Amino acid sequence: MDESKAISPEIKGLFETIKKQAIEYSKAFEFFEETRQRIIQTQSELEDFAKHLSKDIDERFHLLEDTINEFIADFQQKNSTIENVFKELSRIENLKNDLERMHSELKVQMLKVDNLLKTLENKMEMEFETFSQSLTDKFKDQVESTLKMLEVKYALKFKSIDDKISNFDQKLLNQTVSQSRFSKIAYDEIDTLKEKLEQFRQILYEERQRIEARFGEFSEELNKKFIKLDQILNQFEQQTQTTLQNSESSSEKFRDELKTVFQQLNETRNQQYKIDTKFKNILIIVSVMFILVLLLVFILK
Amino acid sequence: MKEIKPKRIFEELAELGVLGDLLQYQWREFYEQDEKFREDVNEILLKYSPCEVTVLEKYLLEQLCQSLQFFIDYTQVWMNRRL
Repeated sequence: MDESKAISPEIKGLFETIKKQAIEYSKAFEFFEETRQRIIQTQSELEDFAKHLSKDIDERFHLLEDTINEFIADFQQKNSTIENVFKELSRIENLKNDLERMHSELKVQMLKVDNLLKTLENKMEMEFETFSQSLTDKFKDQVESTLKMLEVKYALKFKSIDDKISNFDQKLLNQTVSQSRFSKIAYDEIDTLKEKLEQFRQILYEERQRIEARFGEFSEELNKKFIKLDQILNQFEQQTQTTLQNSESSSEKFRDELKTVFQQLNETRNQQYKIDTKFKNILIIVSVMFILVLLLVFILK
Repeated sequence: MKEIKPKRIFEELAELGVLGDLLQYQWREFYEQDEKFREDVNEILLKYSPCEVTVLEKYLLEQLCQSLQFFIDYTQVWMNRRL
């Protein structure tokens, strides 16, 4: 666009100057606007922070208020408890004072009662002595009279009992006379039985001695037979050795001798068995008889 | 692309350099009262006048003064604050 000639250069310069200043002002205003925006943003941030801070402070204030209220309630409760304790303490103190006062009054009353008791005791002792004296006198009189009556009564009773005893003595004498006769007969019978038992015991002793003597004899015989058997066995052994040394021709003779030896041995064994059984039977019979005798003696005694 | 249209009388007067005098002496009242006409002829003067036009300069300076006054009034608050 061509530059207009309708305006003078001075005015154009003026407009140019104003334009430049307007641009500068515009820049300044833009800077101000940015600054304002920043300030507004900062202000909103500060307001948010202030709101948040206020909310936080409110919450903490409420929390603190609740804590303080709880503390106050607890404190009031404890205060009331302590007040009650102090009231109880004062009541206890009053009771203690009352107790001390009552204790002192009780001491005074006890002294009075002691004095009264002493006087009463003295009076009672005196009364008791007079009463006991009179009672003793009465009791003695009563006892003497009762004893006299009892003496008379028991004297009569003793007399009747003496009569009865003399009658019983007479009867007992008669009974003892008859009893002594019966006892004499019984004792005689027991004596004869004892004599018979002694005789039987003597016989038993003799029989036992005899059996023991026979057993000794038998033992000697048995020993002799054993000695003889040993001799026979020795002879047999010698003969066997000689026979074995000489020849086998005498085998039949040897068999006969061996047979006779074994027969003798069997006989000896049979005799020994018989004697043993006999001795055992005798011992059993003797022990049974001895037990019977002991039982009889025990029964008679 | 340049627009093709017939030339107006005000444009011819402006080219002749008489429009300013006419507006200052002949159509002064009309120029001062009719804002649309004033804007229109001012535009024509700026385009076609070969010499300086006092009416236009005066009008532009008055507008400048108004704008500067508005600016001064607008920034008066900050000035007071700064004071």
